[in-house]
Amino acid sequence: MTLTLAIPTHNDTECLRRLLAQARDLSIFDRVVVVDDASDTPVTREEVCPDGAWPGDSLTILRHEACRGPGVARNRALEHVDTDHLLFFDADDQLTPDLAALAHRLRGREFDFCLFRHADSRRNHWGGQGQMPLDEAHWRRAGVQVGELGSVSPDQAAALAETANYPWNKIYRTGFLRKHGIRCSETLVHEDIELHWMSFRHGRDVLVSDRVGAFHFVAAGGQRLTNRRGEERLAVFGPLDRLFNTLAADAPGKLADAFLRFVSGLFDWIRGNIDPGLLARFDGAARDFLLTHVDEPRFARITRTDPVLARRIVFQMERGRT
Amino acid sequence: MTGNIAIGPDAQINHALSVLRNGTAEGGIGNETRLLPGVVLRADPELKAGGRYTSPEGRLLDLDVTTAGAGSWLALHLSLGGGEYAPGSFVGFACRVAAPEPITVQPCLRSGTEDGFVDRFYNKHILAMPEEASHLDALPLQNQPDLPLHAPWRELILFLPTHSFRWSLHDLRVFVI
Repeated sequence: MTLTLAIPTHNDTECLRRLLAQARDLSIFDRVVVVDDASDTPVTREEVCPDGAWPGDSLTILRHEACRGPGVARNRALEHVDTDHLLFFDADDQLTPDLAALAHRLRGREFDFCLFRHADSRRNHWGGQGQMPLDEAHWRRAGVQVGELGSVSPDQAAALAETANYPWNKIYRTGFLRKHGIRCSETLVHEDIELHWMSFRHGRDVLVSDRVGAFHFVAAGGQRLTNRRGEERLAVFGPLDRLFNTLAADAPGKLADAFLRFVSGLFDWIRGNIDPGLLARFDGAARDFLLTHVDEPRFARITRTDPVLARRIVFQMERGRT
Repeated sequence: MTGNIAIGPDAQINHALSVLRNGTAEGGIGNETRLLPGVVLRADPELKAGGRYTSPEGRLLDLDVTTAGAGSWLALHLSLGGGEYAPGSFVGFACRVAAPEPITVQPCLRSGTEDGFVDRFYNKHILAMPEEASHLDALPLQNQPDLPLHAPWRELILFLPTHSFRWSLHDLRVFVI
């Protein structure tokens, strides 16, 4: 297995330098592709790799002259990957030694992607360690919380698809992404939703590991995209529409219903993270989305299989009318 | 098994555990399953224990145990060697564990005597749940007249359930201080 580490970055040289040093120490990556999304000071090899640990073409640095978001950056990185597998990663997160053990274990295995556990900095503040409780619940529901490496059944995939749509907790087979045209959305935020769900839609040989391969840092406030509260949040409906149409047509069963459950939760998350002045527009767009995609047969099925979701959908539709 | 040049009462077992941690192994489970010199899984034959164990890279042990009978014990025995412990010592361990279905594991310090052995159980059970958890405990030897400071052999024993179960021992470190 040859493996590329693909990293979008924007004004985060210090973290990028730390990540590249970590990646060198793990000795599992053959290539690194960095896409500098219009940092104020362009990323240079000398600055992020002062010890020359990634010589020659083992490190590729690409640059956008205008900031286009991490989705565009990841897509551009994917175009330059020439290894058979890749891991998208964010500059401000950290790799863990367990990722190396997982990569060794994956050698010689056939798979489309391998989902691994991560640790979230917010858990540390509560005195714990691991993923956020909702993600743990989805892993528990899928029955994959314990196990160094296992295959994922379609039912388990539907449960795991509802986890947070991170791009950096999966080792991908490059050919899998290219064959199915799986990419990030080119929106400034929520760019990972399409990558995540289309992966589960098309994945046939999906693996899962309880190894903690990444440490995810979440910092409240600041200029990070996660903390954006403006109009860019409204752009989420484009990817959601495309995804639902695809999932409903190609995978009308559990995965499409799982996606609706995810979307319903996402709507509530966005409402808590958007400027109050945009709430009415957002609620109206959410109502339109639900009215368009939740037809009577689907709603009838949801009322039987997931009455809580049915109640939430009704509530969210009503909220958008006012 | 590579040589161990570390010294101290906990050196040999921690060396054995590091060999298990850094390598990979797998095999079937029976009444006596030798994982390494000094690391043995023992089951009451009445249990009719079976199943598989694996030792993934960077981890110690994943157990998938099946039982077909009713028996009294199933335990992971870790040899601590023999010798003299100083008065006031602590014999302890730290571990990381997980299990798909919650189980408890009861740790015990077993000390050899002229006519058998004495067991001293740790106060806390190790609780293994689906989400990995860490556990730390230490047994003080102070004021424990029934626990010999000198013993020809000792074991740290982790008593496991006597029914079918899965258990992952991600890591274990033993200390004598």
